[in-house]
Amino acid sequence: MALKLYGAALSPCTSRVMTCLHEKEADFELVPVDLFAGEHKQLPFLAKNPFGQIPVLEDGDLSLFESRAISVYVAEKFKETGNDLIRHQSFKEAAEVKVWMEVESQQYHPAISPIIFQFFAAPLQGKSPDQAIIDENAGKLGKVLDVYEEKLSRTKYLAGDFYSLADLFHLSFTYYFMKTPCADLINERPHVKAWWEDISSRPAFQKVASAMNFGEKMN
Amino acid sequence: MVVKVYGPVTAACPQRVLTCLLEKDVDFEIVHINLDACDHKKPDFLLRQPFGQVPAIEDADFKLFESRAIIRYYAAKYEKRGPNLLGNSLEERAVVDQWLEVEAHNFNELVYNLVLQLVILPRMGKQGDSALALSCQQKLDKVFDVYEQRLSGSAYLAGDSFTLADLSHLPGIRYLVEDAGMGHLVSQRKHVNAWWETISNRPAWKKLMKLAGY
Repeated sequence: MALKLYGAALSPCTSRVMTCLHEKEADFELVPVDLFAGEHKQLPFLAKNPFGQIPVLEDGDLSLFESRAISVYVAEKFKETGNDLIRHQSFKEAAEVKVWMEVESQQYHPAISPIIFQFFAAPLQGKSPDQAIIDENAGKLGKVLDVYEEKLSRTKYLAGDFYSLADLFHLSFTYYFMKTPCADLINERPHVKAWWEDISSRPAFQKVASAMNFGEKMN
Repeated sequence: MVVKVYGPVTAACPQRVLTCLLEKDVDFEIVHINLDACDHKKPDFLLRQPFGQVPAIEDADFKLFESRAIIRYYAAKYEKRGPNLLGNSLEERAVVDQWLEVEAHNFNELVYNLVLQLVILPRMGKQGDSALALSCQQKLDKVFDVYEQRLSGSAYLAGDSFTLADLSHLPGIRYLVEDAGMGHLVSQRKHVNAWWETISNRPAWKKLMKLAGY
């Protein structure tokens, strides 16, 4: 039975999971959830995720929400196929991947997400991007990226010299970020920039990026 | 050789790690980091944790940071020892992971900001932002409603056993109940209250509370 992923192709969290599915060459069906109609905040969707957020993965009897948990599940279930994203054969490499997945979750995401919100979502509510919020979070993101610049001067990818879920988790939000005036934060840091160009050119992500057209809808 | 845990025993994120080590009966040594003196922002410590946060661990020559990565590592390393904190099958582990993500993304920031405004800033002699505190409380109310619904169907967040998903909540809820005067968020919800009573009475957590001097 194929996996069903409930979400939206332009959503970064849905894209996170789809990129992982493509890397693992796992078949799935994307079941569109109409965000603009608020479908994710009502039943029946709320029965799948009581927090009213996409995506949700259904695999037979198993139903999961939280894009990072879903991605880890997919990477583990399909560990023998496609690209190795979790280093399951090395306990210590797997631990390093866990560290940098948490860094994305706890350091990177909280700084980049408000910037994406201001440029892409605020206009939908009839507001102009709030420059104070953008500046504050750009400052925080810059400090995080300084740490990344140092790490990536020593290893090719975040958890080591191998591509992993830790790098993948950064793709979808950073893709939108690079369309904003804040993209210099990445471009000005040579190792971060090289890393970004490498990971965003992977075929699995290219498949997903082509549908990430939120910005274009705004113009 | 013991695991060295760098951080104050009274801070939430080191507590998350220490509880896991206690549950798994892993010997550890707490290396105190003085947050008031900004030890965590000094060059020595930044070599351990480049974001300048506690905790970090050192286990022989293996080093890690990020508390949720550390607990996942030790729960897997000592899977067969003590309680199974991860789940038995791939599916069970995914559900544990799901609720760990809920704690990290739907719960933690609200608790952190609430405690910062109501407890930490006043302790430092500064004014907390009461509007922000109220907003966090209202959002946290909605999150606890979801927990109440979930826990009406299972004894613990990921199912019928205590796992990392429950453990990860312990330090934050303690701050809410004991320090921030927000105990009603828990006590007014029958299933959340019963769950909190159960998990906070586990011997490992009680040992930690003693170590922390509460």
